[in-house]
Amino acid sequence: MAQVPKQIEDLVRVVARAFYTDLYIVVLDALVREKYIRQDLLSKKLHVATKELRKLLLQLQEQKLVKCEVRVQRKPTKSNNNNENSTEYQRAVKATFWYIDYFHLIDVIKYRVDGMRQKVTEMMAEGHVYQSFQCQKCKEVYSSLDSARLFVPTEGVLRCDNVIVRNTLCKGLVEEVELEGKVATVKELQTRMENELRPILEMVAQAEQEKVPLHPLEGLDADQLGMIISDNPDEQPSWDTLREEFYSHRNNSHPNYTQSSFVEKKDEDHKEEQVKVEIVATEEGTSHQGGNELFKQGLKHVPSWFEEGKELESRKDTDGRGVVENDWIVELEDSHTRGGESLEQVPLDEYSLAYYRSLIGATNSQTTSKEEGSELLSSQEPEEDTLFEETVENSLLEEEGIHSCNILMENGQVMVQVQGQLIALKDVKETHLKQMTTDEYLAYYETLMQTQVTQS
Amino acid sequence: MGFFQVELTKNVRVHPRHFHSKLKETLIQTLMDEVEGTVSGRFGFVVSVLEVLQPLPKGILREGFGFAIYPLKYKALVFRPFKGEVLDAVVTNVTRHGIFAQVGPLTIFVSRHQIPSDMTHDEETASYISVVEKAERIQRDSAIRLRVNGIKIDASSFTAVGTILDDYLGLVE
Repeated sequence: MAQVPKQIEDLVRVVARAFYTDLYIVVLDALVREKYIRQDLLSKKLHVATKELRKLLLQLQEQKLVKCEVRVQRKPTKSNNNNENSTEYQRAVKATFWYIDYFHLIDVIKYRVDGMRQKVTEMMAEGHVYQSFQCQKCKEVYSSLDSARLFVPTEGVLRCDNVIVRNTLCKGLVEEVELEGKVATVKELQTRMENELRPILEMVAQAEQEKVPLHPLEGLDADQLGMIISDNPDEQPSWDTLREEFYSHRNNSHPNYTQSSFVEKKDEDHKEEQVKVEIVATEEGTSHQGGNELFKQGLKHVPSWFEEGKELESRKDTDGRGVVENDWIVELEDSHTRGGESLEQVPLDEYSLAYYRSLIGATNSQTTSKEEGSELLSSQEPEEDTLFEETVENSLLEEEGIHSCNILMENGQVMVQVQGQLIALKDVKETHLKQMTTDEYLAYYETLMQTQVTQS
Repeated sequence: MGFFQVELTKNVRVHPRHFHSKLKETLIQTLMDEVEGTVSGRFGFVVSVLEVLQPLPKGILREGFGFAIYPLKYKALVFRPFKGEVLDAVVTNVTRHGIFAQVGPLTIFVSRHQIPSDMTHDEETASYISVVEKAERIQRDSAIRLRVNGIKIDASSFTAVGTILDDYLGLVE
C-alpha cells in the first residue's frame, strides 16, 4: 500500500470529529486504518449493516471525502479432474472497494471551510439588508425598502404613512428596530467557528507540504495488487466453498452420498424460506461420525452462520428430547425438504439424519413411558437401527398425511387395550368401548383404521 | 448600468380637435407625454421614447365618444435595476438611519449597517465621516458607488436598498 503521511491521516481524523457525527467518525477512522477495503469486510469489521454502511459511505463520497471503485474478482476453483493445466474459475464477482481520497482532501477541506465562512457572512449581511423600522405611535413595522417612501426630506426623519382612519395618516416617528441581539449572535457564531477552525487550518497548512499518493494502491505491481485484493486474510470463505468442504468430509462416512446429486437436488428444491436445522451428534458416533468434532477439526473455516448450540440440559428441558452429549444448532437459508420424493430416491444428508435421530430420542422416551403401563414391550428392546428405520418411515408417512400408530400384536392377532388389559381387536365390543379411557380409545380407533387401510 | 431599449405598445387617445394635418406630430407628442417618466413593474422606468414605428396605424373611433384610439408601437429607453448590480449614485439625503441616494429616477436607501464601520454619522454636518481619513466624507451631492442589495417592485414604483460595504464601493473621487 502507498504510504500516507501521518499528518494527513491525523487531519482526516480531526476533520471527521469536527464536522461529522459518531457513525461517520467510526467509518472514516476505519478507512484510515484499512486504507483500501472491500465494503462487506468493512461492514463485518465495524459490525454495521451493509445497507447502513453504504448509506454513510455514499454520503461521504458525495462530499468528496471517500472514493469507491468496483473490481471484478474471479478465483480459481478446485477441478474435479486431476489435470493441473486446466484451471476452472468461479463465477465472476463484483466487489466494491472504498478508500479515502487523500489527493483531493486538502481542497475539499478548504472548500468546505470557505463555504462555512460565506454562509456566516451572508447571515450577517441578511440581517442588515432587510433591516426593520417601527412606528413609535401605531407600532406599524416597515422594511428598509419602505424607508425611501417614509422619508420626509424637510425633517430628515422617517414618518409613518399608515392610514389610521379615513384620510388620516399616522405620521408617527419611525425608528429603527435594534438588531444588536441578532447581530451579536451571528458574530459570536463567527468567532466560535473561527476558533474551532484554527487547528484544522493549521493542520491543512502543514499537510500541504506533504506528498500525497494519488491512490492507495499506487506503485504496486500486479502480484502485490492481486494479493491485496483477493488474498485478504480476513476474507470469509464463500458458501460454496464451505459446503464443498463440509460434504467432502461427509462423503467418507456416507459412501452412498454423491455431491453432484446433492447440488442438483439442492438447486431444484431451493427455497428462500429460512429453515432451522439442528444437527445432533454424539461423541461416541454412529453412522455419521464425529458430529461436532467434524466441524471442529474437519472444517478449515467455521462458517459465519454456524454457531455452537446451548448445552443439552437446557434443550432437554424445553424440548423433552433424548439425552445427547453435545449438539449443534445450524441455521441455513436453504430448505432440505425433498418434496414428493421417497427416501430411497434421494440419499439422506447430514441434516435429515440428525433430524430423524432426534425423533428416535423422542420415540424412545415415548416408548419408555408406555412401558410403565404395559408389559408388552418390556421383554425385548428394539434394535436401534430397526427403530430408526421405523421412525423414518413413520415420519415420511406423516409428511404425506398418513398417520401411523404402534399396532400391538400378540400371537398374530391385533390387540388393543381396555382398562390396561389387552384384548384382541376382533373381540372388542360396545361394552369394551365404554370401559376404555380416552387414550385407549384413540389408540383403538387408530389401530382399527390402520387395520382397515391394510386390509383394503 | 441597467439601461435597455425595448419595443412597447401604447394605446394613445386623441381628441377630435386634433384630426388635422398635424395629427402625426400630435400623436407622438401625446405618446411621449404619457409614457416618459412612468414606471412599469416589468420594464422599469421609461426614460424616453426613442422612435415610433412607422407607418402609424389607423385610428379606431370610439362610438358615442368621438375620441380616436391609436395603438402605437414604439421603441423606448428603459432603466431597470437588478439585484447585485453596481451603480453610481448621487447622495440626496443623509440621516442617522443611513443614506438616500438617487440613481436617475430610482432612490436607493443605504442603511447605516451597510456603511463601513470606520465611517460615523455627524449630525451637525449631516454626513458620514471616515474616522481614518477625515477628508473622506459622504454628504449631500456626493457621488457614491453602491451595490443594489434588494429591490421591491410594485405596479407603479421601484424601491431599492444598497450597500457600500464591499471592495471598490463607497465614495467616488
